[in-house]
Amino acid sequence: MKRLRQAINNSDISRFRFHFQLFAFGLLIYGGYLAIDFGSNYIPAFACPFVETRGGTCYLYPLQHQLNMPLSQLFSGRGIGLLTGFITFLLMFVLFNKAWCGFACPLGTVQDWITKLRNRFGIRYSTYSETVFSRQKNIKYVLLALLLLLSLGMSNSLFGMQKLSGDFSTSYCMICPGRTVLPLFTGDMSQLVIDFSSKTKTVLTGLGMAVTGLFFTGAFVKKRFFCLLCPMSALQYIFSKAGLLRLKKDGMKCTRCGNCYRVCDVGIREIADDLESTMIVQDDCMMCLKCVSACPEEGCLKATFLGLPVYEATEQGFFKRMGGRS
Amino acid sequence: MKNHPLIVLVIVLMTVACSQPASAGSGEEIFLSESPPRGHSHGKSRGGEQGHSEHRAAPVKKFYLNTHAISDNAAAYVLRPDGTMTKGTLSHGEDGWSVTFDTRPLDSSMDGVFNVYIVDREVVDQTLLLKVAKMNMINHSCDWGHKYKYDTERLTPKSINEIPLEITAGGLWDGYFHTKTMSGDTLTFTVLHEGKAVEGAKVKVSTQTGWTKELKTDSRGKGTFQLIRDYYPESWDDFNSRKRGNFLVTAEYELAESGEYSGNQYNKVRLITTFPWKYNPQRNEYTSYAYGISVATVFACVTGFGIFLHRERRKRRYREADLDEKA
Amino acid sequence: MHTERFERVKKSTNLHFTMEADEALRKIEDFPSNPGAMGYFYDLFRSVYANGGSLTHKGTIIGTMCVQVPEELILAAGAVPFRLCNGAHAFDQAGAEFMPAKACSLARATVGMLHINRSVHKERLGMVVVPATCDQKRKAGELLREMGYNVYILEVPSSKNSEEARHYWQNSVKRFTAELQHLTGRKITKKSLGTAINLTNEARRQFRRLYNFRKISPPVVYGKDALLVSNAYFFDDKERWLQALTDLNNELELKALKGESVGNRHAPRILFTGSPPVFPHLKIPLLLEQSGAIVAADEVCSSTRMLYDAVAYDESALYDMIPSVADRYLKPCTCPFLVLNDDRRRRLKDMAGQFAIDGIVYQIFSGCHLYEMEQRTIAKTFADSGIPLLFLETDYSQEDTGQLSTRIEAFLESIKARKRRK
Repeated sequence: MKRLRQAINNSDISRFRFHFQLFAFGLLIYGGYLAIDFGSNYIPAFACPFVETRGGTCYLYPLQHQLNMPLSQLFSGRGIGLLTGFITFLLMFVLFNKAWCGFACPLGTVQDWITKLRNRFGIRYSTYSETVFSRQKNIKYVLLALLLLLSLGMSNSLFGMQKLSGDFSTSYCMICPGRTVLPLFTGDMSQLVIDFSSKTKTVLTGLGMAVTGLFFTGAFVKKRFFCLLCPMSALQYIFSKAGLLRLKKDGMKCTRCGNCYRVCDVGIREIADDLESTMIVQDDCMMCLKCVSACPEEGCLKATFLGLPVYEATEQGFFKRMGGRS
Repeated sequence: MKNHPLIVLVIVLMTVACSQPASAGSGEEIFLSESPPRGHSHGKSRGGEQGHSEHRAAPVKKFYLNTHAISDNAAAYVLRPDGTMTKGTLSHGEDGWSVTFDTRPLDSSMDGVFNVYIVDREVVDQTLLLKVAKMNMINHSCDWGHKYKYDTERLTPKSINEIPLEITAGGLWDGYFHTKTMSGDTLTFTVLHEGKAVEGAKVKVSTQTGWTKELKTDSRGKGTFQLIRDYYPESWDDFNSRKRGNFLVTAEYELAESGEYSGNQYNKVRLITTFPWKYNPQRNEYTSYAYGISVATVFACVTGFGIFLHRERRKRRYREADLDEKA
Repeated sequence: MHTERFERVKKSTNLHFTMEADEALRKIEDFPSNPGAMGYFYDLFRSVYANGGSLTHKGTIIGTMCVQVPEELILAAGAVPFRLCNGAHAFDQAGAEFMPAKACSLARATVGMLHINRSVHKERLGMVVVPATCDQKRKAGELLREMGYNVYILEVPSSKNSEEARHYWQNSVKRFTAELQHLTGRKITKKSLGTAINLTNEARRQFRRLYNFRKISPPVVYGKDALLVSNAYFFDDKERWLQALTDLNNELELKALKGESVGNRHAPRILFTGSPPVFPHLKIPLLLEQSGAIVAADEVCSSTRMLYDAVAYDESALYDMIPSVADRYLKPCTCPFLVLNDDRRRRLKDMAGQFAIDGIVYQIFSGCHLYEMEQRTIAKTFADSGIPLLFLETDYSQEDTGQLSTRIEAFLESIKARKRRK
């Protein structure tokens, strides 16, 4: 047992993650070919419903559909549908916490591939300044709020406004790059259009294509560019503290060497500089655990599942990983 | 609500258009529709125009027949996606006849395509008239997941040998169980007599806007036609991409058979069958790849170039100290 | 400058230095059961310092005035990093000509040595890198420039807590990289930098092995040996040093397995911090261990702070590797020149726990205001911990040895008494 744990702690999480991501991508994008419908509608990651052959569905899609109901029906059968949908999502999420983002989300995986491509070209990555970083942190909550309100607003008149047109159906999906990018992997280009059938649709799909353009440049120069804006990430973070998989930090053992911050794809400074918090998952964190693998302090950072350490920072593991480079 | 006068119109048009008694669509045919023929709407017809009215699980389904006049021999059959047959209940109301049947249990075991048939037999003028109204409907809820997405069995409407004459068409739904027929599409169907392909059956297609086309089935019992574009809104603002058009395929076939039915002698058999379906405006009419890809490209290039310039400027900032303010 | 007087001073200073080094080595070796693998280090110091031998380095020698200079970059440019911080009283006196009497011995000795010898171990310096850290080093840099050395001032932020400071430092390191490439005429590539990082990280990995052996109680290695090992890193060929340390570690591992220990089983375990002990000025650690204590841990820039932290980079490309190297020299730094130096207090506290420390000895060079000023906060940090502190202000002269040894003995007695009570 001890030797197994040592072997795991000495392992290179990034390599494991790369292969796991490939596997998850295959499952979620092509799983349908094998008649795999993994958790059906409630995946806490961008298993995009616009991909015909997908093996699961991003929870945001059914959520938007289910919210399109009069508030008076909230406590009827449809309300139960919403509730069960949410509970399924929550159960799936709680199991792996934000590791869904780092290990399973197909759009995250695509961004990691784009990053690899950039690295191969030898073009440097961009980083946000602290102010930009903290400001854009809020965008995903705004998107989440809009997503919920627009869905509700189709069947209810909110804030004294008229009911919204049905063209706002799954409005977030219309601007999500997952919808336009992920179907491309199955050869489906049908989402790369602007829909002129109504003003709402024109604006939404137009925005969608603009975001798609931004997605490619953004992901090319900034690691996990889109994840910092993702409303799924916002929705997840609300329940992150309940996650069974946790990222823990022991501030006493931290030397603030900053290695973890150095390798962090999303640029979370707290991972290095927060010495008080023991549960260190931030809203932008995708639990890729690169920080754990870059930490040379015995047991300072660790991923635990139900309190049991799964992957722990060790001096030996750190030097083994770093020594095997270049 | 808009639907119903249109359906009335269909009936009128069809009676007008089909004045020749011998041709298909002679007015003798019976057909099924989702709403009552004379516009007595019962409650809110959810999403009628929005397309996916069928796309919602309900414990009981009800379809309406176009007539008050069916014989006592008429019976309703339901072929369920798993291949089992049940009977539907025929009832008569102010809207005419309708058929109700159970789609339970609502647990995805009945996920897929249902065939609903009404078969009526009577002898008129020493001719055995076999009238069949067929309808395909999908029983599906996204909440059940899409586990039958690749189970073509579930999505392919079956035919049964017990039905005297029926029209089958494939490829009517996409993977999400949405109807995918659009104007401009080419539709292929097969006419089957007791499960066997029929050559030379007279087929007529008529849309609710009045367009009709007649053809005969080939040696494999197949017929093909292209749906016309018949939706022209006044202005683009009125355009509705979910505008639903209805059409009816009617097939007719005669057999030189003699026999006796319910005590009446006949010396020939005339079979009439109908199959209603629906279509939406062509997607290409209101979507544009050119604009879509251009917008994406412009945004990608402009931001890419912006980042490049920004980086170049940053480089320069560290290289030189330019303080000249044209003193 | 090459007057007869200078030649005379040079001769006598070098003679004094040799005697001083010889004396220190004698004291270091005068312990029972020295590890066999330490022989390499004793011999190294004897040949290079006591016998005035030379070193053979392959490449331009870049002198560094402080632990803040990223040596990976120097190695990647095909040059040899050489830490100039000097611990000799003889050179301290020679430096007195340039720096005030109240200046720190280390800076003065460094200036003195470069004034007398114009070279290190008979090899000329291609460049002297002076990080703008403490006042002593900064002004010493100016003096060296006046002497005609090719001095490069490496700008360092005075705080490490803000992102701006970090970027400022990263840019400073980038400029330094460009300067190094210019000097050596060799381009730093991701390959050469990767190799350099691997080498130094390997050195740190071995250093950490030694560091961890020092946690074992009863002790398997003396602090004076550990300090000598890290002092050798200042000038020794990195690969040779790495091999010698690996041998030592392997020997210590065997010793630990066999349960062999050095000194008294109940020897007070001391954490040494403050101004850095540099050979031959290992006066206080030696006094401590001669008096029966064990310097189990140190938090000084001539040893742990120099070799503990390793570089971690994400992408194999200069745009990521150079900032990673830069971060390695700023983020974990606990030198008191940094303002808001809470990390030093935390580090000391953590070490006191990890090494089962009985007492802390805090060396302050006369004139080193930074360490002197942190005295209060460190004392406060340990006030409730039950770990006593001994502040010793000293310099490179041997005049205070008697007084120091009395104070050290009293300190150790009080620790022993406390331990007995427990």
